[in-house]
Amino acid sequence: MPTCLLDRQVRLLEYLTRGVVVFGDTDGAPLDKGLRGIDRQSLRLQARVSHEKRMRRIGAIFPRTFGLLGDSRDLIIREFTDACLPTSTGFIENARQFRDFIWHRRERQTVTPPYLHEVAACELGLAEARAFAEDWDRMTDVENSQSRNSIRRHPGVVLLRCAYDIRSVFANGEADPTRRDTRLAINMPPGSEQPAIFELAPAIFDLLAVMDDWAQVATLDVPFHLNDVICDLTKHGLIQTRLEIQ
Amino acid sequence: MREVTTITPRPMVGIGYRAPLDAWTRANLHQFDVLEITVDDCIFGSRRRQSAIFDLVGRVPLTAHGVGLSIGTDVPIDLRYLDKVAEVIERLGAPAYSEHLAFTGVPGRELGNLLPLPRTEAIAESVIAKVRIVQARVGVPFLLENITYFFEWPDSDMSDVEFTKLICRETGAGLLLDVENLRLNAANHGLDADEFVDALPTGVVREVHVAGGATLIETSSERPFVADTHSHPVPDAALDLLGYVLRRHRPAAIVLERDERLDAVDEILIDMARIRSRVPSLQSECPDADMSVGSTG
Repeated sequence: MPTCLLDRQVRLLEYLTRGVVVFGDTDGAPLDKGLRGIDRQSLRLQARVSHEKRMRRIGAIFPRTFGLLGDSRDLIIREFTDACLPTSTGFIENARQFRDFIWHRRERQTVTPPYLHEVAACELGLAEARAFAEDWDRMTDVENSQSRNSIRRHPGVVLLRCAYDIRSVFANGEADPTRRDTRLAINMPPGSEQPAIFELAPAIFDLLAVMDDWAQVATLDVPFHLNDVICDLTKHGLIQTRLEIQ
Repeated sequence: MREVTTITPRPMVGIGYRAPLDAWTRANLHQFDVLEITVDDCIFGSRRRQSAIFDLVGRVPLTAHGVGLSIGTDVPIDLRYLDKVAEVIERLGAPAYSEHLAFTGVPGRELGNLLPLPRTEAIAESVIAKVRIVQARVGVPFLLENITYFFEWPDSDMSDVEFTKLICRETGAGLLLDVENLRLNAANHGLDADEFVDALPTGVVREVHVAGGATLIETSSERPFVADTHSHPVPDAALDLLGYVLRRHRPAAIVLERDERLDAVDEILIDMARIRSRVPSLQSECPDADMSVGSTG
């Protein structure tokens, strides 16, 4: 038996987070020698309870995605458990793991429905927008800037390009959205307590995608009259403007 | 002849602050003698959450509870985390800081559940050393909380209460006695909860947690396990155990933990009243007296 407690603790957590243990196939998961003597049924119980707690956190962020999983739900959660070990107790961190898993899973096998990963990404975007707003200090709006008449994408905006117009899934629960290249922005509009999903024109989506930093309006080369849309984008909280009066 | 009247302050009774209940908590602040703040919310929570918590300073007494220390993980204690905890405690004006006598993860892996330690003298020594670091870093008394657990390490050669007492005795740390955890351990592992309470030395129980809601987990073994959920009213059996505790110990605070079914706020207020009904009157025979006033008779 290893004498180092940390070694035993590492082995314990490895055991408790293995899919074969979580889902009850303990015969397929022999106890490491550092854990021998611990009651297996008790360990399986611990593994199950911990897993269910983690999945409650994740499920709270992905209600629509989980709804779309249908009969595949148990299989996908099992695969996720095997593939993504818990590294944090945070809602967003666990949700990102799940979104990444769903997103990459479609690269390996056919996903049903085909827009599942996009719905997952959108639900994560809604959670991130909400979390950002909780943390957003409006005082940073008046940070020092040498720029004049400059704009940038609001740092709380999540951009998402989809092959399906998945907004219908969120608007009315429609489970069969239209296949259409759709560019979305997710954010918390000013004065709102709930995040919103906007569809953007391709040129505006592309512009927002590159506007991480402040840029002077006069220097932007865009195929439309920017001043016409600045007001609208600002109103919806998609960009920040820095207008300096001389 | 000198007559001694023992005057013991009544324990403060309150709840663990939960952000989703912020507005309700503020509207009912007069119902609570104390709020227990999770220090990790003040460190890792959003600015909005932090603002809401620190806005409570001065409005109601606050005590500090942590979930992120993992004092039992066999790695050096995270001093940066501890310094942040110390800052939060100072801002809160909290009279004590409590954490679980447990571990929750190892570097790179976090289970998010409290796990027990092997109860041996060697492990106790390791925890004792860390408790001393906490005490040196944090300017208020440090309390350890007993956890509920599903499994035991085979090399444990001390009882739960012996292990806890040893660490508290060697460090002067207090105990945050979680009555529900004790009750569930009694059910799951055949412990005698009253014996546990009786074995605790006078003065060690500084705070108490109570909670309700337990789920029965069927297992393939003969005996099902019970797990706490913090979701329902405190069961009478837990209140009876609380009463037993209060006849022997005089904690400074009793905190109701509620984490699920938060919309059922009426249940929380009813539980407050039920808990208060178990608190002994001002003058009592409680042996764990904080203050003795002598008078010449």
